[in-house]
Amino acid sequence: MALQLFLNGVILGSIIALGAIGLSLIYGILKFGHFAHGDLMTLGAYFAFLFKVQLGLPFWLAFVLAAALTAGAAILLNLILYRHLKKRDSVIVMISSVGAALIIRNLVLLFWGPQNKFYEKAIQMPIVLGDGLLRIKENQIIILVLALTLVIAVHLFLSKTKLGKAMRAMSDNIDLAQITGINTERVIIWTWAMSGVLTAAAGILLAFDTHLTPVMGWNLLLPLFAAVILGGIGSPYGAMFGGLVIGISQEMSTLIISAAYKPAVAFTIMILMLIIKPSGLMGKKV
Amino acid sequence: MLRINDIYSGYGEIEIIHGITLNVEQGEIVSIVGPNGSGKSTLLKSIFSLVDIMGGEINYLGSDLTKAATDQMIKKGLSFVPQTDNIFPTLTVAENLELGAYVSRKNLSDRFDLIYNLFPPLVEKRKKKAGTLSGGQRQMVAFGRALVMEPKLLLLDEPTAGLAPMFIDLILEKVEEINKTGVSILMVEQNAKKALAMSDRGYVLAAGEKKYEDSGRGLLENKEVAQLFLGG
Repeated sequence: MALQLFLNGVILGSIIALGAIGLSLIYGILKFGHFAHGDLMTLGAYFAFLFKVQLGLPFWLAFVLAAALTAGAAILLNLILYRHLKKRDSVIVMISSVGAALIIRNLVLLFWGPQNKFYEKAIQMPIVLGDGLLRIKENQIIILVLALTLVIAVHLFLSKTKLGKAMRAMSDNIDLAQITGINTERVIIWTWAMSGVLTAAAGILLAFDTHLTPVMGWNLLLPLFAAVILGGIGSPYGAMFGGLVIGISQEMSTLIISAAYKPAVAFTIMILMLIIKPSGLMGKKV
Repeated sequence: MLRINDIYSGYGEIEIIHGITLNVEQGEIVSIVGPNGSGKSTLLKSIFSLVDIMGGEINYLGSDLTKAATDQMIKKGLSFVPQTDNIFPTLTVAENLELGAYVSRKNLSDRFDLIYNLFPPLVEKRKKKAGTLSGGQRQMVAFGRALVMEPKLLLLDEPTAGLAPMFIDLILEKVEEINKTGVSILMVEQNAKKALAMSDRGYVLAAGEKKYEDSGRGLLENKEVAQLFLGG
């Protein structure tokens, strides 16, 4: 039982990690909590629904197209909204992102309606391992492989490429980045693009595991923030680690408490971290 | 090479520098000294357009700096080491240096060798996060980041602030060493006596205005300056 919950936790955790990386970088660079991140995730999942189910494209192509469109949506949000609020107090930018979240969610409702949707209607038989000790569906294996691949890709991007290093540098110290000659405006656009791709991936994988609903991303926002804070705001590596910890803790908690309290687990971890070590596990000192 | 002509600058509506004229010639070390709040750092930041310029002009190697983009300034050989927050703490030492070369990556490894020769302690810390280093070593990283671009003029904002006494002399020695390789230096420094002793020329600021200008030695020997600004 515990092993099964651990596996479920790793699957949920890697989905949270994907969403949290972008959220953390945006927090680090633009200094505000992006509350529309969960709904961008929803949007990505519905874009994939459009391509896969409504237009009948293969899954991988739907995935790529949805990720690209979500990246475009994130850049557009920056262009028409956040860029103009750059010099405002971070609370104002944060509130405006709540507004953006509502707009995105209602657009999803408008185009796709409130009913649950599925990428596939067929019921999948799980693969049973070790005399029924562990059950895993084929979809979940795909989720794990895709999430892991993306996390490794993000790691290589952030640690090996000039643009990736510039992103981390800006998250560390934006003023110094500027006098170092980094074109900060350009890096900000790329950060939105990368966040868009990763949130779309998170949304698609979440829907692939279960189903699509217009509130799927919004419901995951708290665990996303908990992962970011646990790992240390602005630290993409912290976000990956934080995502896994939150996912596993949420699932494992059902061993001792009712599953209805799963969000409370994320919340409790977040609050404890803020009290004990506000800089997070891998963040810089605040 | 650098001419600041009757500059007025500050933050938003608040004017801090009230019409200062200053110049740095090729190969010189020039120090700006003065009491806290005299506008030394603001003057230095004006050159890099990090504060609001309200009047006057800044000319570097024949072109107007007030209209130049940061990457252009760096390409023309101007580098700035801020007083605080002058490293990327979660990036490694090597990554800090690499970002110093963001606008041009030509002959990068040769340039890294130069930095590691100048600051040997950084060699073994190459892969360590810069934020985990001691104050003196962080300052070496900050200098390294600024020197990677092989600047012609290096602007230093209080390079010894907050350092342990043993590092103060070391860093100032390094400044002289850097200067001997042909890099001109314009620095703001709290240790006024030490700074002026090693400077070709110096400026004394008070309340956002230039009070004295002379050779480093001349300012040190000026009784009025000594009494008012150098603690007797």
